[in-house]
Amino acid sequence: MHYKITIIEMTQYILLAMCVVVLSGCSSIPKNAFLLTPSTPDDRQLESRVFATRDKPTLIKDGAVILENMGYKTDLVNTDIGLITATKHETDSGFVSSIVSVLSIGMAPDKDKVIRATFTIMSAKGRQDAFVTRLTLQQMVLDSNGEASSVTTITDEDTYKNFYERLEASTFIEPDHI
Amino acid sequence: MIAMRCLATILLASFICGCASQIDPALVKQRQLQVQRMQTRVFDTNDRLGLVRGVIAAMQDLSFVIDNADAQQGIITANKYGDFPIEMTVTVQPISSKQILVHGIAQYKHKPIEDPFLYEQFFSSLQEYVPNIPLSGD
Repeated sequence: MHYKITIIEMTQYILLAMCVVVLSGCSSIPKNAFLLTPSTPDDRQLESRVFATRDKPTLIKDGAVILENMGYKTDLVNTDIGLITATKHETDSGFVSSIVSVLSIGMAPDKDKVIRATFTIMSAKGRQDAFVTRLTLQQMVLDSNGEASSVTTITDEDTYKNFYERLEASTFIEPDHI
Repeated sequence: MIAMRCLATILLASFICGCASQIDPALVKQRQLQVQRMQTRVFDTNDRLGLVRGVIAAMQDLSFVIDNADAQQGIITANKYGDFPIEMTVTVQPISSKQILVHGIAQYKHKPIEDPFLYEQFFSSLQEYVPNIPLSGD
């Protein structure tokens, strides 16, 4: 059987081939992947406080203890850098869990979610007698392999307020907003 | 019959894509140097810890999750999740008593990102946190 290719069929094949070529080379990330979002300054303000002290080890130690009391497991503490990272499974009981649970009404059961806390301490700009602390809480949804499939930064004001009230009570230093 | 033709078309297109790897080695090397240059900044300072802290703060702003930070080795690893998950490793290494080199490698789907704009954005965020540390040549 002899089969003739019409112009329409030829055009279809060319279009199909072009689609394959384009799809094979288009897995690039968007230009704004590293761009600061408009909410970045607000997030920074929500998550940060200024403590008028030069006692960085105490801020680190107290920060770690408070996170532990809030149900987090400490992953990394580095006093030189001024960094704590900690993780909490959302099914754990505790204040942050409650807040996040309230925020995630209607979502799937949360046994595959964790909250990752990153607490940093940096010298305050232009001040020799103070540190800026920043706590970032990110809720990660894990897939069946235990890999994070998505991350949402927690923006609930009360969650951060609760942490800083505890840090204030622990250090006896009333922090300022940045 | 149509399925066979579609398969043949896909194979042909894949073959054409594969042909793109026949590139002059000199051009490849030049491209590698360009990529390395955009991933790197040299700062006139000996404040390694200050730069490590700046890198972490910049990553926090960019919604990265910090996985590890080693002040002694000057290595920070972090991940950014979502629709376009990115893995990033930044090294902060002295190259002389007065200069420190910051090298960042971002990967998407386990392949290095070679878009200079993204690295410019990262280093721009970093410089915001280390305003007192000048870039070499500035």
